[in-house]
Amino acid sequence: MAEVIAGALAILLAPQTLAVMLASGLFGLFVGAVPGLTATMATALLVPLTFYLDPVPAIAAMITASAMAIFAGDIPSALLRMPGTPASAAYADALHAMTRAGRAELGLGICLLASALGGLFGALVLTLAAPALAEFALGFSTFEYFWLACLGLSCAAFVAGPRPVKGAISLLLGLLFSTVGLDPVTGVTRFTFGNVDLVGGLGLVPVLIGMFAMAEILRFAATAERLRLEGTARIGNVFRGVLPLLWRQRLAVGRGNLLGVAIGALPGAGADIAAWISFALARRRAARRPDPDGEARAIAGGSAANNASLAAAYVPATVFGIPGDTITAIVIGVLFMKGLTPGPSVFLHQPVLIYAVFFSFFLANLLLIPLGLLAIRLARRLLAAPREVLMPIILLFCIVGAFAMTNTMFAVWVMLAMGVLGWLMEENGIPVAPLVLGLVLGPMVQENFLTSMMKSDGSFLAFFERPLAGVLGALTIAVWLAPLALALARRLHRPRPASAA
Amino acid sequence: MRLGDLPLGLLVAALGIAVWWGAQQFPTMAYFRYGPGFFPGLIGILLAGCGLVLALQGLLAGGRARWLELAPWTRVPRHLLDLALVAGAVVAYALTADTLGFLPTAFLLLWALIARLWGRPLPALAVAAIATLLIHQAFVELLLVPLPWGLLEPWSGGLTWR
Repeated sequence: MAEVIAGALAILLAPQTLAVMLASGLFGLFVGAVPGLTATMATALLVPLTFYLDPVPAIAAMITASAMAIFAGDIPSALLRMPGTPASAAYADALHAMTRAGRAELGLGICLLASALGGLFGALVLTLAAPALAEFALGFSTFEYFWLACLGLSCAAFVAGPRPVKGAISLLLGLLFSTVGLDPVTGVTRFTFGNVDLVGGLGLVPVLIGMFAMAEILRFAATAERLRLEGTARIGNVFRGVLPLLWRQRLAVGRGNLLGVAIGALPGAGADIAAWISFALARRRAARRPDPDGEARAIAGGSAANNASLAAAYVPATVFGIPGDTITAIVIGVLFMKGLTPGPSVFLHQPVLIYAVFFSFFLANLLLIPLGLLAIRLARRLLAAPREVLMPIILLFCIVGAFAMTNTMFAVWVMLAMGVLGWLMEENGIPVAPLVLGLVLGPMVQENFLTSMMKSDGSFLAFFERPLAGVLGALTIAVWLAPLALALARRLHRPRPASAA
Repeated sequence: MRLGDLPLGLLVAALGIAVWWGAQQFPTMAYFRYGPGFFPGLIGILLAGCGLVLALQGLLAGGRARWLELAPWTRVPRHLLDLALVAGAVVAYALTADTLGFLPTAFLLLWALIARLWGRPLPALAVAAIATLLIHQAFVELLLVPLPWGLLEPWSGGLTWR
């Protein structure tokens, strides 16, 4: 065990890894701080660049970028009341209220430290829980994997938005897209319409870049107005008075950490949902027992939750290959490209690499403090960067990035199509995250199902024979029935309309 | 551009039926019931089902927003033009980059977009030139991505470091 840790630290502390982490940290800070550029977009844009990096620097770059971006999204929330990333949207209003009351540096200081603490806690849970879970997962067979993938997909579909039906449609579209190309079992080409470029499938990278980056650019072109930086006073010393305040709020931060980890580990539920739930719960507590620090407490909880959820999302991702959120969906794609197949075997065969990835979480969140401080100092200059100039440049980056993976112009067309589709979906309230998860997990579901059917000679009952498979299967079916049950319960409890007076 | 639940649901249901029908065209296997058409067929059926549920929800909800609802921004012509420009830029790149080459195409498209969105054509020229050059260097020299040379093909030997 000691050699594994030593080996992991050696890889992590190598100059290439550190330099890459620093650069991607700055990149993530910039992307997070500019409203309209999301953490998922930052990760997706990094994929073409990680192509030529070794596995550990590549993943560490994405980890650092996403951790920084999730924190940096708080900065425009405080200054412009516009969240830099969806994860900061939950407490943007409350944070801006603190700025208006002249306590901007206190608010941002709380966000900075809470984010770092949340991230470190998440990293701790990841490092301890993932290997333990992997040990347990060694006994999994195709039946368990099938049900687990189904459970993950079902959770993602129903958690993603207010309308389960739309989430389900998004999921099914993703599964449909995953069938394009060669069938893994029989080798028959499906849905290629005679196009030779489609035989390899739609390609994960153009779809990701299209859905997460290009769709945002389209949305910007369609709707965005010029950012107006209010005449906010200079931000003072961010650390003054923060530590005692944070100590008083340690329970809120602790609760935020736990909630963040629990929600992050759930497939499909990401940093934004973690922040919303944590903030809402903390707010409700504050309403019941009013205290002057109430708002700050809720902000601290939310800020800790979204950073904690980032690390926790890697638990199902590394142990089962099931992404915990959209960022890990992208990272899983990169892991496959680098030859690190996520699953319990990676803990057996390449423990040094996987532990290096876990440790990079600690380093990234420690790096968050100085880099975040830098971002707060440069906030006005960061936010003055005209998005009208940035967006076209990012568009070119998207085009070249999509092209870079396969060196075919077809990938650019796919990116465009997915961008338009993603934008239309969001306009119509259909969440995009389940589609991406369906695309990533589709092959896993199909192969495990077909292999299981072959093993059981076509018997469906075999899917429930093994005890763990049975439990997982029952859970999955319960998740499918939950929306119906909830709808039924709501209808039964609706008060009877009073008769006309 | 927001469709109401009813038309959206019907659209999805139609897609589901099309997918199911397409899945039936796949060859079946001799000794195994679940051939390549099984999964797409299942997805098609489920899509059709979800589409119908959505359409039903739309029908029951009623109200004016049942059919097509255009969001407020679509009434501002500037935004529609910007949207078309962004999508059009990608189309233009995909169609012309191989013949014209990356450098000219990217520079022109970038300049057009930035000038249009930012409103300052002359600074946009400088920004577009610098950005195109930087991206070209990063991807061609550092990452070894073969971006098309197009018209500059005869001089491409001298324009690279290697």
